[in-house]
Amino acid sequence: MTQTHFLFLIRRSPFGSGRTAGCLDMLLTAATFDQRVSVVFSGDSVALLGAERDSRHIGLKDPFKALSALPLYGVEQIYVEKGAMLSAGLDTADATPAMVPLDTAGIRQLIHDADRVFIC
Amino acid sequence: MPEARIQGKIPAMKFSIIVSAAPYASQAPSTALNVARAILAQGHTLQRLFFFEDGVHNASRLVVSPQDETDLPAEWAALIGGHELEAVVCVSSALKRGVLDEREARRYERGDGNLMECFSIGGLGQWLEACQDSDRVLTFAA
Repeated sequence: MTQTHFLFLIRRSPFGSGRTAGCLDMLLTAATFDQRVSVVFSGDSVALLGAERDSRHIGLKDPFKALSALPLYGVEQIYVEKGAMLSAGLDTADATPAMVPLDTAGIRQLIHDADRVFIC
Repeated sequence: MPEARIQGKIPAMKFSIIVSAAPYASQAPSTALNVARAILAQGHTLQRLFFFEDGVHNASRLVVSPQDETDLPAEWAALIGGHELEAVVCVSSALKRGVLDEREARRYERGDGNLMECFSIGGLGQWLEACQDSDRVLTFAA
């Protein structure tokens, strides 16, 4: 199978829309088939990235639980938009070691470089 | 080998379309349908239609459209049948939303299936394949 560069831009909260879980399913499928995968978290998704979460209280599955496994799937290009972090009251130092803060110019370059871009 | 051309100008391209929105919940599936028609009218190839997430509702024979609105599932079925297109419905999206073919309906004891015959059940592997084989992949979502 030829390698295609997939970029996923995840903007929605994992609980605010079912599309976030769908996007993560696509991401993991591409990674499972050894495709090159990049992911950028921005918008509402950022506020929940580093937060303590227990969605059992609201009877929902937490799609973001899979995020810690992304490097195991070979997904190493994991980014978080700097502006979204600031809007969420987070400092870029709050990004986890696996997530690299990225500005809009960097996101633009990623979009330019990718073969396929999916947004949720 | 000369590349295929349309009207001597634009090379013929292979498109795939992903529909992630339910009929009548937004303009997305209607726009997808119109774009699909335009792609075919321009002489390009529509390699695969992939119905994902809420988009699987476009494949249900149980949708009852108001008389003064376009019957979107019927229009999709007409397009797919008329052009012999490959229309795949993602199995995990479909099960969660109660869109079942006969086999899944029997397996989960849900009575009769409601997936229209021109659609087939598949998975994200076929989405990935379309992403690799098509020149352009267009997503229509709300």
